[in-house]
Amino acid sequence: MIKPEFDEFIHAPTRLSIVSLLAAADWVEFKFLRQSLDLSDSALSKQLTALEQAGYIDIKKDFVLKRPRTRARLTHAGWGAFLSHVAALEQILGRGASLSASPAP
Amino acid sequence: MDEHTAPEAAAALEEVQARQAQLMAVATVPVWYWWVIALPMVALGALVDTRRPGWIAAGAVCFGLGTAGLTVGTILRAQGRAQWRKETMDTRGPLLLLGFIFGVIGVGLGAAFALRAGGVGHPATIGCGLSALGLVVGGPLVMRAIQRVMLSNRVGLTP
Repeated sequence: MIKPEFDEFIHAPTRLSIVSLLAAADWVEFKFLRQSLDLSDSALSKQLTALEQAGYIDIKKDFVLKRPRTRARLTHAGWGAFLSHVAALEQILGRGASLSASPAP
Repeated sequence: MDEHTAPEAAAALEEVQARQAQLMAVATVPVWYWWVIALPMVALGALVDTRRPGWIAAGAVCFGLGTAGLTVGTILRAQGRAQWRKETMDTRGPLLLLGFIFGVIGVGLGAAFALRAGGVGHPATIGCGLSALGLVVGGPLVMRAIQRVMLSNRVGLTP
């Protein structure tokens, strides 16, 4: 069972959107995040840096066919924080936390 | 946590669900994909009805290469944007897709042979037309069903 724990840091609207996208994926490309969230490069970079500094995400930069690519993924800590936060949201709604532990990304 | 209200929590959970659905959509092919395959399929059927082996062979090769190229390109494009979590896709997704593809091809071939046996003109064109219709109508529906499978398997939210 996941322990419900409200995470004010993740709960900020843009960060919640970013973490929700990342939680459904092994990794997500920067451009896709930017387009999905309709953010500027700098606004997204700022949020990703904050999440990285909090230890919630990893940012990886590499090249594909000589083109730079930036990808983000949830860390083990970020995954746990997301699950706990969602459990807390469901607890507020009285749904009860029925989340099962799942493998960290 | 007490200062957070139920409407606020509900809105946050809706946002989580919407974003996860947005990411799952990456795993499915767009609607235009089915049209780009369906229209040349009808043309291939028309070529078969000409009964000219050279034309039929050339058309089949072009259709096969074109379909393969389009499919690989679509998959690579999707994989360049995001890699969804593998546990979101169980056996239902691939089975649904394979069943659909074999189903529309089977219906088209069956109709073409039946029409030919009945002496109806342009059996291959009509058969391929039926398959094409199945693709453009059923393709997006199957993609939505696969998306629902993935959403039902996502972690972090109670169903």
